[in-house]
Amino acid sequence: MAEERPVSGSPSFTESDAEDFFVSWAAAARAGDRAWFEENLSEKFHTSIVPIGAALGRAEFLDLIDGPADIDFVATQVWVRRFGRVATATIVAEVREDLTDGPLAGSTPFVAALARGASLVYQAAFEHGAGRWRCTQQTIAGLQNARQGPEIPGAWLEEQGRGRISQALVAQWRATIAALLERQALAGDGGESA
Amino acid sequence: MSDTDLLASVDAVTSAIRSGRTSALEIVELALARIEARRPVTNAFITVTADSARHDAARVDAALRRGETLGRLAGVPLAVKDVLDVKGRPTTSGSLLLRDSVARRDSAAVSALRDAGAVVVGKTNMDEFAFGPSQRSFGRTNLPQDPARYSGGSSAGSAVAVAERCTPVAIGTDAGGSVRYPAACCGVVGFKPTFGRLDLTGASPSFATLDHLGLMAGKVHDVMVVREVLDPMPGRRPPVRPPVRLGVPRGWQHRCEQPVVDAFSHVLKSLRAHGAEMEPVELPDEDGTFAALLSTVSVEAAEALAEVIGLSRRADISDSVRMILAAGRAVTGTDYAAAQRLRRVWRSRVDRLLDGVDAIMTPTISRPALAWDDPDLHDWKIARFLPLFNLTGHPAISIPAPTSGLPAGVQLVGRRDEDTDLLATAAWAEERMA
Repeated sequence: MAEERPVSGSPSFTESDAEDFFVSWAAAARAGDRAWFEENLSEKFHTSIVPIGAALGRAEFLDLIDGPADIDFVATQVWVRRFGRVATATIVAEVREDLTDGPLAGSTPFVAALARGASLVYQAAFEHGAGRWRCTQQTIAGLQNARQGPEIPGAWLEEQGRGRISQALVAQWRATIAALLERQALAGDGGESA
Repeated sequence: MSDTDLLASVDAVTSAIRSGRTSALEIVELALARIEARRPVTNAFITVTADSARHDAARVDAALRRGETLGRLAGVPLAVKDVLDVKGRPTTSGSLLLRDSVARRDSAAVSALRDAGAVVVGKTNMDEFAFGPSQRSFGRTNLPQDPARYSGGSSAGSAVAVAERCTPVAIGTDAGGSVRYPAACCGVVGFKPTFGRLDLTGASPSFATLDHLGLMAGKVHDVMVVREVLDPMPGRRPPVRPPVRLGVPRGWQHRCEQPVVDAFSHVLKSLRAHGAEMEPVELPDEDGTFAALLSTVSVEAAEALAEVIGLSRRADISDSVRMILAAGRAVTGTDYAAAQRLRRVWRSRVDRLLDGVDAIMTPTISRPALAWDDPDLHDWKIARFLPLFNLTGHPAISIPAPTSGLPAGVQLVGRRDEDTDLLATAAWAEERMA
């Protein structure tokens, strides 16, 4: 898991920033930290939660944050595109706890689906203003329920179409290497040895 | 001395044989019995070469009776990762696809060690084609300390063979941490030399620019002995001159779980008490390390495995291997070249870091061995400190860190082509952090 660090205040927006945001989001949801959401969701925020067929505005979403929740997600893959002051992120996350038998079991169809190992995809848009990035839109969709699925990510990749996913992974490696080489060049640290 | 103590070190074996207290054949019988006794629990071996081991041991005994000069490893049982050829035996690379692939000659390392008198007692289990965790062909190799856990990979069986005192030494390969990771999980020493120093001829697959022959043993001293057989270098071992200066990565503790934080902190404290000086160092970007590693290894794996995989059905290959091969097809020539450029930059950077210290020191693994059902089993971050030095080619060794629970490891990284110095520093540290 990435180290804790502030998401805001940087004009760049990287995969690490998106993952950090997601980690903070999950932590705030776990703690029932409504103030975190008020601070990090833009005024025009809305969300679509596909598994329960809900489309919520900012106020409706904040009303859901009414106390600590026993949830634990971890981002397994992150892709980011940035267009000036707008960035989009696609985050594949995995549920780390089996909620089907816990205190939240069946509270909503969405929670009822959250077996350990279930995969979710978050598609989010961020806008930059006043020196910080805030989430302005988010769609949550379920990719599969682990109870019917395989136990390892490799098999999940197979089901999702390996060629497509590999292209995405390679694109991510390509971007990472390019960014590091660019940073290297900017820093004038280009010394190479035989 | 108990039977397992006898199998704990090279010198214990060779002194017992040379003194006549026991024979090489008796040593081999002890090793074979130990392998069979532990097989139901840890499943470390794919092939046990009992007949040829008895034959080779009898030759050592006969040579001793004739008064001939014995090799440095005369009668020492040796375990060989099943990626390295042993003449007349299959080299499976951990895959049933290759169960009939019988080697026509010994790999270079096996040949050299046999010339020095070592006796191959078996070929060890591993992750399929060295990508894991994936041990479905020959069953899982379990951690000796807790069989519900993965023993690390990919050279799992070699590490377990040493940890369980089936053999005093074992060999494996390391393209991204595959010797150091299981060594740390199992509580043994695992060494990868400077890239290219030890001959990998007869290893299959071998990843062209990343792979290293690796050595495993209970103590650094035994790694030194085996390395000297494989890579004789003139001169005596260099003494370690205090104060030893060690470069420790900034923020290491934020990237490890508590048991490893505790173990590594204890090591730092112990070595400081013995006069070591610690300097913070900044290692290259971790995500970039994995991007460069995977951009490289996927291409090299696709090349190395093309013939084998081309003949197989998809169902015959594990998901880990399928994924890496698919990625290898997606990486372009330009991507590969960019990764190599980044590697050269990092190699220079690590060279410069090592100008100021005797060695870089990191935890080997960021958390103790994982349970087979741990959702993080496939997460590369447990081995986050390892592949950088496959990319740069610097020599690196993992030595066990004292813990009260599952094993943890300390990795020391030395200057390129100064492997002897690194081993001397590792022996110094091993003695002082016990």
